[in-house]
Amino acid sequence: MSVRLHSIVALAALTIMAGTEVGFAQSSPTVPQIVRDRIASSGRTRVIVELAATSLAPDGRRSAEQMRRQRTEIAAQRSRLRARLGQGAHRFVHEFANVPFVALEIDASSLAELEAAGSPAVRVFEDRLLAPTLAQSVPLIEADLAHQIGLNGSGNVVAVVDSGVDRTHPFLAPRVVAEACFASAESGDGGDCPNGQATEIGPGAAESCAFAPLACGHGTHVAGIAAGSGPEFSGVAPNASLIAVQVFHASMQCFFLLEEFPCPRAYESDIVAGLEYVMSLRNQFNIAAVNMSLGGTAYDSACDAESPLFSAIINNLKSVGIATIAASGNDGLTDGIAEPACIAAAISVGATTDDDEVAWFSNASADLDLLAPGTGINSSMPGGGFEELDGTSMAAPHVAGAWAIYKQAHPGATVDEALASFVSTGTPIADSRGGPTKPRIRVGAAVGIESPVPVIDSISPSTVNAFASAFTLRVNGSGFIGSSKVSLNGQPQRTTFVNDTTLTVTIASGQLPASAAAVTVAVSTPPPGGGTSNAATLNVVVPALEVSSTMVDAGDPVTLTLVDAPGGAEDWVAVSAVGSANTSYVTFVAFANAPSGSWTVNMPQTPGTYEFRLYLDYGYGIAAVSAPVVVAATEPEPEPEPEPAPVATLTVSTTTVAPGAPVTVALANAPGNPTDWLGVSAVGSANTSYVAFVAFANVASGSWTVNMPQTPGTYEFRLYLDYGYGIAAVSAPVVVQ
Amino acid sequence: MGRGLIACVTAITAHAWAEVPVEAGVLDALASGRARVVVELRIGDAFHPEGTLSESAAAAQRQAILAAQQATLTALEGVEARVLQRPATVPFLTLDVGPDALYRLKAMPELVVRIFADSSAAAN
Repeated sequence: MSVRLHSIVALAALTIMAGTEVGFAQSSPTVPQIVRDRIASSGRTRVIVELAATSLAPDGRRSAEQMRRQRTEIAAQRSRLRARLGQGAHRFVHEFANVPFVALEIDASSLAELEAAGSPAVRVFEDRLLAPTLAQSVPLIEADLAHQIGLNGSGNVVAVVDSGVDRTHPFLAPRVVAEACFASAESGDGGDCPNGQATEIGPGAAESCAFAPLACGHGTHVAGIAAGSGPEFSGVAPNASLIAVQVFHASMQCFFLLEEFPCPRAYESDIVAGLEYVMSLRNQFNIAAVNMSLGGTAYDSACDAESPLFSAIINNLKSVGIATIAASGNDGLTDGIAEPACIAAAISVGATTDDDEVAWFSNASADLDLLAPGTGINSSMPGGGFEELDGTSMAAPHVAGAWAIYKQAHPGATVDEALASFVSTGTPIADSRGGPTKPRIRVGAAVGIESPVPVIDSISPSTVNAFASAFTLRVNGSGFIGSSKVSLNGQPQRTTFVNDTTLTVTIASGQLPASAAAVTVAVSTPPPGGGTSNAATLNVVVPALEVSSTMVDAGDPVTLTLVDAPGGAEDWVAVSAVGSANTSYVTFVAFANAPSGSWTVNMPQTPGTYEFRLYLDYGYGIAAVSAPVVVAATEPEPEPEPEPAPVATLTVSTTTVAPGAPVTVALANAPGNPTDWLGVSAVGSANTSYVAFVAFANVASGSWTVNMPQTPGTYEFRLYLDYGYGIAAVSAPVVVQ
Repeated sequence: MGRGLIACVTAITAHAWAEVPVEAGVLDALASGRARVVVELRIGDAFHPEGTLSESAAAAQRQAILAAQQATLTALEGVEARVLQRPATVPFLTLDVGPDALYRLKAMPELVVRIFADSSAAAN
């Protein structure tokens, strides 16, 4: 008995009830280093946060009540997360109703909240920015190798049972060879086919449904992945033809977050009618595969007993050599896939990312057959445009197109033979969520194309700092294919295939050795053909701090030279006492984006042994240390002898004159105060006694001619300062006779 | 071929049949008055994918499927049941039924294997 994990029908009975218990993460969520690096370098990054959800694990047949509990629990956890993050600098990018995940843009403070005790977050993933594919996903599955030898689906047909196909789209015209619609109305007698009925067959019957403009583009997108053809990029089998079958009706049972209303839904009986229509054309066309990028209830094992109608028709198709390719579903399950993918005779397909990891949303189980790219897939949309979509819906048509190529190469192959070939040649992809390892298809290998031997011409960068934040290593050369992997010292890395001359690898902070080293870079391509390339060397350097002197006096300058630093925007150098804590420093120099540089720093006044330390990213992890610099105690400089104050002098032009005769007196070395003055006094008289005076301001030296007194006697010139009576200088006596 | 099927059905009816099992989802849907149901039909021999049969055997199986569908619809005469899908290659019928039609289907174990809801799928 299969265990039913999820039912969109059951969701119809959902009502929100109060009092739902919510789970708490048992410990801090795991956070990949790349997320921390991105926040450190850019301040913000986008992440996927998995929320604690106690009821997601399959513990028996899912009732409507259990589904209600699950959705309510997920909603409650989202609310808790919102409350926890508060009004901080974060942004909700996507929320999901049926799986316990949210996509956020966060900064360091938001990450701290996610990691703090009591957070509802279980895991934090990087929300990768993926380059638009098909331009990448088609080479990734090596369909380009098949195209190069003329295997492009020519002569074969892929049927797309979906929401209709815009057959006039330049990517698809003129390869739609048959059309039908089976879309009975949710109520009443009519239907949602272009003729207003439940069934229509003929040209125009499978035009894209119109009641949900966004969702109704789904079939056109899927068809483009399988068989689109364009000047810049193409689908997997660009020369295959298409049978378009529209099976979606306008439903009022719309449960998915942000879903259009009405929404597209397909009755099992309408789908089966579409499949039977495809089967009816089997003698008219070489139908390689039917693609069904749709699903409902998920089961943990084959669901033939639960879905006998799907089982019967899919076995019918298989028996006449037509593979039914079905998407595994997007509920993020690791032990269940949706019907009809869970039918044993169907080829179930889960989704991978561009760098060959199982997509977080992809359903998986032991019964899952294959994996194919399903994230950021750029393909046709009704009206002539293109759009990127994610989903196992996008993975399945990669396999459907691959099937057309395989059947072109092996027209007589049965469904089982083709599947065995895709399984045996696929690249095994381990599911980091704990799901099973499954093969990601390799079309070229499946049809036996020998891959070239990879050759490395250069790598960029070729030198990198051991403390560098995450960076992209670009490997340039030739003979690369989608399955080529870059290895560092023999360890295969998650590799992004850019084109046959370029591969890239994202290297996380801390992944490289922390000391100077030469890392061997090589590229390996699995058989058939392939092999391992020549080696290139990635030089890992560590920063160094050199000082101009290791013995200086207190406060003396030392010139510091930094080389081979990471050159971060927030790196800094500190002067610290040797042996002190990482967080201890006396002074510092902050700088930005300087992989090398030279600074002169005055050493501390306190004697001791110091060192220069390089810190990165405003942190306290020491990336490099200089040689110790000893600051010696210095003898105090002797106080210099004060210069003797100059002595003011008064010199007279004569020492004997007649009464009233003039005498010239010269002043030198005076203080030059604003209120100094000269007095003419009798020798021996009191300081305050004078018979004549000369007042002057700010004169350090000068001369004046003074008429001596009429009274005979012996006189002298006296210098007084600051209107005072202290005598600063005295001239020689002048006798008046 | 029609005679062969009838003979087969006659032979089967000699056995004691239990009531036809009905999936719980059908009863839920019927609470609103009507339900879309898929009816799995009993054909003389077990169903075999057409590709595993000879051309003539495949044709015979289609005929048996047609006869089983017709017999079921005949047995439903007088109660309200609308045919939604009538596949040619697999032994099923999709019907829109009310309580009386479902009641009658449940009482036809010689013709009907089981009854389940015509579930719906979404793009994924």
